[in-house]
Amino acid sequence: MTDPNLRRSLLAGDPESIRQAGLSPEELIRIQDIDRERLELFAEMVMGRRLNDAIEGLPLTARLMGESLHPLALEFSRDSNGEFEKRHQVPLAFARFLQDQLRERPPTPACLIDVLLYELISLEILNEFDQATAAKIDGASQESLSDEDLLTTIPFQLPYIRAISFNCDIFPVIKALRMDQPPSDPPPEPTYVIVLMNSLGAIEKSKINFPTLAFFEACDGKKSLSQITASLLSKFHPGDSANSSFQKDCIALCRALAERHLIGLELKTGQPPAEARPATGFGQEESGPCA
Amino acid sequence: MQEVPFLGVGLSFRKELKEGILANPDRVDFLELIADQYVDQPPFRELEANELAQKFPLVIHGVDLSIGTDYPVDTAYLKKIRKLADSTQAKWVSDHLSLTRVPGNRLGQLTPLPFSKETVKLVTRHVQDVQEILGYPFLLENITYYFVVPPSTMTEAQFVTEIVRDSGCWLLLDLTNLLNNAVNHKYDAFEFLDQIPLDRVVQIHLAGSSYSRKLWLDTHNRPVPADVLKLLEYAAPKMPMLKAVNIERDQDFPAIEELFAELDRVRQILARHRVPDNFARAAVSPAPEISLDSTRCNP
Repeated sequence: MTDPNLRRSLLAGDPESIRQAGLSPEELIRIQDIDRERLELFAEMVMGRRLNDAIEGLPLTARLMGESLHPLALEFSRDSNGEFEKRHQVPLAFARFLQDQLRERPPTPACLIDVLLYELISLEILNEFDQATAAKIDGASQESLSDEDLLTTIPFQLPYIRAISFNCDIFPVIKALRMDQPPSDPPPEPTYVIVLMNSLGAIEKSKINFPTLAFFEACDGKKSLSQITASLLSKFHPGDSANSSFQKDCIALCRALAERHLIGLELKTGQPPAEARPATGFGQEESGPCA
Repeated sequence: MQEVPFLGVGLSFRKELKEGILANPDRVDFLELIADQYVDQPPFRELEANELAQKFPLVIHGVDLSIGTDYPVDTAYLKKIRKLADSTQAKWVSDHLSLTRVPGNRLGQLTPLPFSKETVKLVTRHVQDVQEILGYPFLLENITYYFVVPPSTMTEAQFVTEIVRDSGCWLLLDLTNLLNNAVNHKYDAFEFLDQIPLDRVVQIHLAGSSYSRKLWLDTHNRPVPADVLKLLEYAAPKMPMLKAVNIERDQDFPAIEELFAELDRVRQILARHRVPDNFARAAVSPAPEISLDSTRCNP
């Protein structure tokens, strides 16, 4: 009933629309009994609420897009037809919808793609928040392992952390937007960032280098550290399979990431995974929730 | 019977008001938290609720229980509300006499229910389930509705009265919603007050509405209008169980002092009418006059 065309044809008794809406004749009569003007108003209010939910969840994107966001939000609200059971699902779906739109029509400023990606990732992380899991992870501890043992462990990514490659340096853009200032569109410059939710549930971000990003991406929960090291070695130093300092670097990186609770390690001995939530203060900047 | 303690005159908590409220804790007797801003949220929201609970008595106000949905009550949601109420030592929990969702589809808007015996039975059954799960005093609030949902076979006053009588719940009477409905549906708000069980009213909501397309809308974006305060003056002396009155503001936030002045004005009204004695004791010294919206009239 939030689709104005469907609503109008339903109220006019169009059989195809009635079939599409799945209404019984009794239900249709009830709806037709409602004051048309007020029903219209109510439908608009439902749409307006959905619109607000979508936009409020993407405050930085909304600031950057300004008025140009509204027609897209309207299109999204009209198409989504209320299939969300929870309020926080709305901005997430809207972010994905926007991402599809921006793929078709590259935006100005170009950094909009990265800002949207940052907010989408933040929403995904917040959306996956689950207190029971959080408590379980908080309670886990990281055991110290020898280098030899560490190579047999299987590193895996944690549900509250993402390593992302952006097209530009989004840090000054986000800072300006948070201060309600128009950001300058930064030049293209690949920027690698870890985005995570800290133990208080706030989103933090921190720059990393490309090898760290590659390491993160290789932590698929299937390969051992030894296998990851071998695959990264062939990527960064092809033809140098005996590079022992590279292996040492990988071990040190894995250890550092695990100690800071940025990855989990599954022990080969069948012991449960050792993982933990990062405490606050990981990132260079701490932000509140994305919303 | 679960205790419903006296709370006084307070505010609905919103993040935009946080700084002003925390800087002036002596100006607000209690806070009402929107449950859905703390349930299924990251831990820092829970911490915020707990911090507020250290400074103010709290009540929990839900917007998404959807008590009128013809489907079993959402037990998981209620358990989360109970957890929030436990951790904040909330005095009671409330939600709206409406529906906001059906399985698989969320409207996000308070939607009216048919005023019928069938709905009374459904809501009564749900209220009993809710009370069992929550273990807290439970209040239902009247909403602003823009159309009557067919098939309605009772008046709104009969509907509210039967639900309260049959379910044993308490009432959160929103006087602004009442006035919106009275004007929008052309009935007498004072007569409505005479028809419902005022002895079951524990809490009152006050807010300002806006007028658009020939209807008063529940927007919470303006000061409490004089006509709503007249309803308060009329009804409050007839409410022996009244424990709390709060102002809701969700948009166009004024300086915090303006809201405090509104609270003081409410205190003065309650004190002047000696209702109940607790409110008289809670009244503060006379507040400066504020400019209440005087545009409110039957359009």
